Amino acid sequence: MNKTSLLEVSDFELRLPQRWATPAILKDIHFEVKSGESLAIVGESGSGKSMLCRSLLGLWPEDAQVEGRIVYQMPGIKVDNILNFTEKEMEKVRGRQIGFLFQESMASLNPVLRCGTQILDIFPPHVRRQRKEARTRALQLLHLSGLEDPSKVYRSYPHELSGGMAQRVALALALAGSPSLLIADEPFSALDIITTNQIIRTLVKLTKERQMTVVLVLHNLQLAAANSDWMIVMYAGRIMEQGKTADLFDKPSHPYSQALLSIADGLEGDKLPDGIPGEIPSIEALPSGCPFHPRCRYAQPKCAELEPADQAAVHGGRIRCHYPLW
Amino acid sequence: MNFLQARRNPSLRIGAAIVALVLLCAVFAPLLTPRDPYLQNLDNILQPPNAAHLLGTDLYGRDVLSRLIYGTRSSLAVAMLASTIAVLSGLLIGLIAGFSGGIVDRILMRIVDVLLGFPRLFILLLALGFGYPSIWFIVIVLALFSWMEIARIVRGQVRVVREMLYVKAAQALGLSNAKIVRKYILPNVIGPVIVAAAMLIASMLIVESSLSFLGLGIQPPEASWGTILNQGRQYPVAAWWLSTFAGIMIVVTVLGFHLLGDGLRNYLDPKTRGQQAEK
Amino acid sequence: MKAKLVEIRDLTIRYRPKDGPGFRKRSVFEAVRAVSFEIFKGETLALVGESGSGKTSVAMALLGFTEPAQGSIFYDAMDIRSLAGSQMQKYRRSVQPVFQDSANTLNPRMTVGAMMEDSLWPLHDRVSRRKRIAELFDAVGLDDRIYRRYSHQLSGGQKQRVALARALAPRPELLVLDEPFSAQDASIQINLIQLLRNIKTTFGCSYLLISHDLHLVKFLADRIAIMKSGEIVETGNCIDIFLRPVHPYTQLLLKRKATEFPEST
Repeated sequence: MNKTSLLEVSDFELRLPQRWATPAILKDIHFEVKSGESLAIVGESGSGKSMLCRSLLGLWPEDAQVEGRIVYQMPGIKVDNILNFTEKEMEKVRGRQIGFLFQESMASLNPVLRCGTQILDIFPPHVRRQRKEARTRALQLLHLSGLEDPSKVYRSYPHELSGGMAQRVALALALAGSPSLLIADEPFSALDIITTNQIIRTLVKLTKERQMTVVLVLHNLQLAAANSDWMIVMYAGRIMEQGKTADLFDKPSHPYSQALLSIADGLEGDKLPDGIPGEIPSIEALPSGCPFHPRCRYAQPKCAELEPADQAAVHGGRIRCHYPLW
Repeated sequence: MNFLQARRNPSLRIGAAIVALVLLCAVFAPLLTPRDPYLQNLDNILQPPNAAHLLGTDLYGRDVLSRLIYGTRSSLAVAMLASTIAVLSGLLIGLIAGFSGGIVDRILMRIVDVLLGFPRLFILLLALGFGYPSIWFIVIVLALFSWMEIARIVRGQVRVVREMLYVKAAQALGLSNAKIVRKYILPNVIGPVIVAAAMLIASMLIVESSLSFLGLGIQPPEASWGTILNQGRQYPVAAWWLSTFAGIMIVVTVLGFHLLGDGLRNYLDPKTRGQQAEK
Repeated sequence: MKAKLVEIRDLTIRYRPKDGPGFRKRSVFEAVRAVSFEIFKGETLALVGESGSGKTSVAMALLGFTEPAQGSIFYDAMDIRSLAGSQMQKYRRSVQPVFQDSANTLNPRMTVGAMMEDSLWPLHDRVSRRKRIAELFDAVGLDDRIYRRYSHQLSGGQKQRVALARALAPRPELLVLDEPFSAQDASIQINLIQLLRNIKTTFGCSYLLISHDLHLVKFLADRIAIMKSGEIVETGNCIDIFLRPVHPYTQLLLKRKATEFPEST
């Protein structure tokens, strides 16, 4: 299958004006997503991954200063930098072509409408007109999302559902428009293991069935490992490492990626693994040079002086480090 | 006081400026008035604005400007006193109802509902028509019909705050109910109350002016915007300065309090406080 | 034989659900059904289950915030329902909650210092109070500068430590930790586990640790009780639960996060 590029991001930078300066929340972002593949964006809180996610949909904060290019190659969306789009063109981006899942499922559900109604609202008008078929379709979607009793959920209001069920309804909503791209921002952090596993399994199945492209933002490395073809590791608003998931895991070249991986592995064992010393820097107090250097085991003097540029990594992807581990 | 937020909030700035000005007029009235507002001069009645009387004179030759400035005293006094009483009583009842819950809450809220069902203006007019229109009487009647809204707002907020984890933590620490209400609940419900208070003052001003306009409120020779309007009613074109300036005074002041209320609401709402950089 | 600190017998908690836009009549919901377990002095008992399994309801009943429909809660062999007035106050101060790191754990209108002073209200002497606050800050790893800060000026980790310090102020015998690890990065979770271990050693209290993450509680728990749909399905030593899980639900929970599911399925 010829994998064409669905989404291309290059030189993207986002700055937010604060009282004292306008620091970069996201800096020097480049990556590509190919049609039919799944990309996991991994990072801890404060890494900027959620902001990146929002930016992909043009939903950056009003007072943000953005630069760079974000280009989609999808039917229905103009093949051009979305930073230049008019409101109308932007609406196409946020329309049915791209499905979006938030972390807080309840937030994306309208509390005064029944779940079934909300799904129907997403269908195009000609589909909605065929009442019976539309309802069947909606029920199918709910079933597809892993809900055991779709007709009950169809009739229910969001507040009558548990967190896990609501998240599944949100998934159904995101899929209702038959999107070619699904962007999910930490959809599982509020859920327990069993529900998470179930939803992920559903997502993976659907991705393969519908040839859907998925961008998943996660802080859990194991979930990312098991469910993505490509991975991006973010820290302090920069992409520290990116590459094919299997290869990245095999040879984690950036000290931060390696630390995250060893923690994830360690938690599976019997002994409490060591954490990463120090704290995630706030945007007000970003370290000089490489933002990770104060916490890096392998830091050298150069790391404090010069911020590393984006370069090729051993595993075929990219890395931003003066002294890669491989 | 977060000045960055205040700077982005024109309603707050303009509203506060207007209210401050009006308050200054009220407080420093004797120093600001060019003439004695009570001084009649029957040779000089109904003069249009001129050098001697910047806003003209009224039916008894009294200086309109001075009467307007002094009018701020009576109008504001009534509006603010009545609002204060209404807010304090509403706050107390709302706190008790919200915090106690159960049957106390239900009884108090039924009383509120019943009182809200009364046609207030009608009863107000009736009471004032029969009663002696002293300032205190007006204040008490106005307050009596306004505390219910506040009580409702407060009770709703208290019920929300009561379930907050920091309140539960305080209870777990064995703090007395009085302390919890005072330090943990009250400061967290006061926001909407302040906004409601500003709006309440605005509506009280209108009610007071209307009453004086109808002759049921503040009586001449006391200066009040409403009484000046009342005089102006009889000579709308010939003595346009009476209705016009009194009207402007009322509109601007009410607008000021409304803007202040709006601005406060935006300032106090954590959601509009400007977004933190998201992670 | 270890002394029993808490004994819960046949606890049943029912809720009448809140009204919503629909007009359907909702029946009473049983969140917890005939739950029984014990917490021994000095141990960490983990209560593990999905969201909605009833574990938070159990905690709330233990803390005295919810009235159980049936069953009893014994603390130091006393039925807590028989406690009143100052005895109830004493009980509450012995069993302290540490809630999930969420927006409303700390009073937004009070400084950290003021909240800490409040937590030490029985201590009338100002100097000793301040001294004790400094000790508590030290124990949870907070800088003294935090005294003057408001909750919105703190990071998530700092807020949680403040909540911990506040809970430790009355020298409780039992800390009830409700989902302390939720939605946090792995490195922060590790720091928290280390902190909780240190505190246990220093203060010698027992923990009731409520979580949905079996793999995290294993680093702290002596015994684990698994809850599903309002009932306890299995209880046992931490090691036994991991090596010889009996109940199928326990086995399900133990499955590692999604690494079991190959992409081609």
